[in-house]
This record gives sequence, structure tokens and C-alpha cells, in this order.
Amino acid sequence: MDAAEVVVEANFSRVFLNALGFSDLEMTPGFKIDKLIVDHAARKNVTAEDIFLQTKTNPYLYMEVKGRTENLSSEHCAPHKRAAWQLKRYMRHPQSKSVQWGVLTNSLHVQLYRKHGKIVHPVTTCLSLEGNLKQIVKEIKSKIEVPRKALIITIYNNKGGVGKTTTALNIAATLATRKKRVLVVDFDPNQSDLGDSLNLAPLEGQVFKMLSSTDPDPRDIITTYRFKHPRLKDTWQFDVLLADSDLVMGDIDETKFRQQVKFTALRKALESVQNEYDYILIDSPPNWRIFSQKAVYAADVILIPARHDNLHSLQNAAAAINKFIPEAQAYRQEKAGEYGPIALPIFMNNAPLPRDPALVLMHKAIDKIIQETKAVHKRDITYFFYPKWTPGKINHEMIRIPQLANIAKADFMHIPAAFAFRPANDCYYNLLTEYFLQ
Amino acid sequence: MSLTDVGNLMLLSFDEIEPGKPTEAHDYIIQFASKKLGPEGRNWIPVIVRENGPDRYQVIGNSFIYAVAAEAGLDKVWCIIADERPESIEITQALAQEIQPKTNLSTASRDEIASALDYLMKQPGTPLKGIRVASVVARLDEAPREYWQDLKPIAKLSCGITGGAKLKALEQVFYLTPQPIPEITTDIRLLEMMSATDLKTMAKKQGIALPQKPTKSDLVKRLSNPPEAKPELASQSPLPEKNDLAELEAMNLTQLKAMAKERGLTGYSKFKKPEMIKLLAASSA
Repeated sequence: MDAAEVVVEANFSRVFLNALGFSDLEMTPGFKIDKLIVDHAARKNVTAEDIFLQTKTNPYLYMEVKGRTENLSSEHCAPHKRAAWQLKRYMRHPQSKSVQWGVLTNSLHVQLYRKHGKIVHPVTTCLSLEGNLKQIVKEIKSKIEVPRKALIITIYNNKGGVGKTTTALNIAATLATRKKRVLVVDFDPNQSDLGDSLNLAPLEGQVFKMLSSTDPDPRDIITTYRFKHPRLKDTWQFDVLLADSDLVMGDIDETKFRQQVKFTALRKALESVQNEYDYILIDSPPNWRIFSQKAVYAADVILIPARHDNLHSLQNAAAAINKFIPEAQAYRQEKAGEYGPIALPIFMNNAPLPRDPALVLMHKAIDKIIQETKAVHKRDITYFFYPKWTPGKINHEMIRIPQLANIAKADFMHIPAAFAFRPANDCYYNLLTEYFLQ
Repeated sequence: MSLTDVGNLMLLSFDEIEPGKPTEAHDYIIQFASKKLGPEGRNWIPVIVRENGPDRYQVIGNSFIYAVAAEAGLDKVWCIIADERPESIEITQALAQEIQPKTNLSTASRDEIASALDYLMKQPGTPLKGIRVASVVARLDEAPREYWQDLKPIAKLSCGITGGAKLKALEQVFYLTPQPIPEITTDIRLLEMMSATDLKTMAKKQGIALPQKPTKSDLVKRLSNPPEAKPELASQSPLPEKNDLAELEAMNLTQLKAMAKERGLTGYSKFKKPEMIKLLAASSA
């Protein structure tokens, strides 16, 4: 702890946590997790015997404090990158399961992070505390007082045929087999493949009607899909918001949709049911037009599938990370004052065995994309392809779903593979633990 | 394809729209239009709004349509979303004719002044009836209006406007962005505007000798024609030794005759321009 940090600690941290609604007995400075020490941890005391300052159990919020000399005004500054990485490491620690929020501050700027399983994503941008401390405290307080249950994940790549729908379905099915509450949204009316794969007919106009109303609420038009495995006792189920065939065959074209449905409508509709689900998955169409834009806008995180044998799917994944997702972020910041969706590392769908010569070609292509992005956007996107790559250590390992005959076969049976075949379920569970499950 | 709705036609819920500047249309017209529209109708002419916050909009143009929609009881109104720049609001209000047009009299051209006055004259019940527009335009155009702080000096232009209701009417269409009056000037129009005291100060600054107890007209005369700036008569209209045909063509008849006189030529008193040019070209050759 340097001198500047001591000053902030002495004059700011406790007062700030008080303002966020934690009394002195509800916070612990220098909170230990294993060998790591978080600057502050806080939690509301539930009963008279349970004083967090004494028990130090089930922390709810971590706060990492830096000195005023450390620049936290933008995510592009090195001090901010370091501090954010540190905070995320504390929050993702196995002993931090109960933590839901993280605060990063140096008393000049503050940023709020939310944790959901393994995912830690920013909720606000770096907010300047100068002159509007009261208002920002109020804003952060209102967010941490109402925890959100669901993580909204949009599955997006503007290249078709990379397995977006298959991924959405099997992730939903795998989560259902782990007793999680899941809603899948088929937001690709042109294909409505998701409903087809489950043998469910699309809706006719109800989605449009719901989204164009003043307070969109999808409860009435959600279908529950149940699956009874012949050799198992219990039934698995997840909820589906089916595609709207009127948005394609009916008299509602894209123009009319744009005129009557606000950009924020899907996000608003999902926010109204977000405490009834652990996960909400949105399957988006392969383009950057109205439906995919709204699907990306509505998300907390974006999952991007790509294929090793399709160069365009890799290039388009990079385009989403460099261009489309930042566009949606900027719009969310402008519209709702929230940080907006973040990209998760890309995963390889239908990946071949590790020794396949095709992979050599793919890594070459990925290297070229990474170099080009560095040159054009002044940005290093290595992490999004190789999440295990650290400075000084080359690691080409990618998150993958291997090629499995079962996954394709299940599609013809109109059942999610993860329900019908154990190996498929294992693969998707593995993917979920890589990304989401703690 | 951009993400924003700015520029788009959208069907917005009436409750999300706040009124802007209220319309001045007569109730009778609003009633008539709302009967035609009815509660289920579509307003083919959209209301122009800007976004004030999440799901909050405000009317910035076509407030008449908004009033009609309110009267007809529409649940949803077709609107165009404009951006939030102040100039967009001004443009919208100008296009919807919801703003009183105004002319900057400090910088306006003669045509702009004439057009503004013509507009005023055609307003029903205007107090300007009976003034001679041509004289007002001429007087205003030549006045030192770039220095006026207000419109009061118009009353001194002897153009039939002497203050009162007539001046008030002019205030509807004219505004001023005055320039500072320069410390030293020879512009008679400006000197006329100033007080004797100010004129004396100016004369002192330039070191101009003044008679005992000068009148204002003395001061104006001296200051508009200061001694060191007295132009030499010879240099006033220098007549160059020209015989180049093109240059002669560019001169007018008076100048050509003056040149002929200088050269001691005679017999040209009834000549027209082409003949003069011939004569002069020949004389120098």
C-alpha cells in the first residue's frame, strides 16, 4: 500500500461504503481469501448474532481501493487494467462464491462490476466522482440493493452456419440437466430453427405485439419445453420464447418492426423476467441488422462460436469484437447509462482432434487477424482467441466443442443432443464450466 | 446500419410524449382536424420529437398535430425522432412555421430589409399602414445600423416612422447584434449619431484644432474631414496616361472627357463613348 492509497483508505473508503448502505459492523477491511487480501469486503447483517465484521462469512461486495495517483479514468490506462484484473481475480476466487458485486475506486473515479458464476462483467463505465458523488452513490446503491438473478447471454456471429442455434439449445439443455432455470429466446424469425429443432411451431404476431407495447412482458407467450428421458426418473425442462413467423411471412417487415418496436424493447422485456431465471440465452440471426442488433444490445455477455474450417467465421468473430459489440456498448451507455455487453472468448465449434493439420492453417489465420487488429484498431484481441495465453507464455489452447456425430444426429430427432446423449452433455458441461459455472 | 432511432419514423405511445411549445391554432381548426382523424386514425403528418430520456420524448415541431392527436384521443402517435442539437430544434420550428422569423438588421442586405417590411405590411391590422415602404427601405439601408444598440434611431430617419406602435411592429421582425463604435472615425453617419461631448473628445484625441464653442455641425464637419487626411485634388481622381483600348473601354464618358481635356484636345463636346475612345487612342499615338 503506497502513501496515496493510505490517504484514500483513511478518508474515503469507510464513508463511501457507509453511503452505499453498509454500517461499520457490516464491513471488513483487509479481507483475507487464501493468501490474497481484498481491501474491503461488505455484507448486510441478517440477524443480531451474525455480525459480518466478526464472522467474516459470505461476503457480498468487494471493494478494491487505489491511490489518487493511479489513473482509473478509462479502461485503456495501464493502472486501470491492472486494478481490474486484480479485482476480477478476487471475485472469481473459489472462496468468493457469495460475492455478487465488485467496486473499483481511487476516490476520483469508480466502476461497478457484477459477478454471475465465473463471469465478472462491468455494469457501469468509469464514473467520475467529481461534483456528482451523491448521484453516483445513489445509482450504485440502487443497483447493488436489487441483485439480478439471470445472466443474459446472446449467441452471435454474423457468419451463418457456425452452429449458433445448436449451441443455444444444448447449453440450455445442459443447464437444465444441472437444475438451472433457463429461458431461450429464438430471435431469428427468418429461420426459426430453434423452435423447429424442438418440434415447436413459431408464434404468429404475439412477439411483435409484446415488444411494441409500452411495458413489454413476455410471460404470457413463453412456452415450456419438457423432456422425459426413458431411463431416468425426473423430467428436464427449460422455457422458450419462440420466434414470430409474422415477422417474416406476415405483413410486418423490417421497416414496420423498426417503426413500432423500440431498440430497448427486448432488453426491457427480459429485465421484467430476469429474476425468474438463472440464465437467459438469445439466439440471434447471422447479420448485423435489426434483430441481431437488438439481441446484442440486450445482452450482458456475448458468446461467439466460430469454426476452424471457415476463415470467414473467424474474421467475423473479430469484426464483432472490434466493431459491432463496441457499437452496442456505446448505445447502451448513451441510452441506459450501463456499460453494455462484453464479448467472451470465441469458442471452436465442431473442433477436430488436436493433431489435425487443418488446425495449423487455422492458427495461422488467427495470428493474421490478431496482427491486423493491432495495426488497424490498436487493440490486442489475443485473449478472445486464446484465453489461456499470458504474457511470456504462448498457449494456443482454445475453448472447444469437439466434433460429435451425436450432436448432428440429435438434430434429426428434434431433441437437444445434451438431453439424449451423455457424451454431448459432457462436452457442453465442460464448456459451461470454462465460461460460466463456478 | 446505425443503432439509433434518430431520423426514423416511429409509432410512439402518446403518454410518453411531453408537449413542447403550445400551438396557437384556433380551437375550431383543431376540432375539425381531430374529427377527421378520429381515435383510430393515423396522423399521416408526423409530430417531430426529440428524446429526453429513456422512453421520454418532447414535441419540438408540428405541435398542432400533437394537439389534434390529444383532442382525438390517439393512444399512439406517429413521430419522427430528431436529434438533440439546438440548431435541429430551430430548423424544425422554422420548417413547421412555428417560430417568428427575424432579420438581423445589423447585417441585413437591402433585399432582406425590403422582404421583412413587406411581410409586416401584409399582416392584418398592421400599424404600419400608410408608410412608404420604398423610403423606409432606403433610409434603413443607408443608416449606420451596424452600430445601433436598439431600433430607436429609426425615429430620426424621417421616413414616416416616429416611434410608438410603428416601431413596436418593426421589433417583431428585426433584431440587432451591434458592433462597438470605433474610437476614431470619419464616417459622417456615425458622427451624426454621437453627442457633442463625445465628438470633442474624439477631436482632442486626434489633435484637431477647434474654434471656440463649436457647434455640433462644426465638429462633424471637422472630424469627417480631418486636416491631415485632406485629399490632394490631383490624387483624388488620378487619370492615368492610357491608350490601351481595353483600359479606355473600362472608363466612363466623364472620365474619358476629363482625359481629353488634360491632353488639350477640343471638339469632343457632343461625342459619344466610342468616338471618345477613337479620339483618345489617336491622340496618344
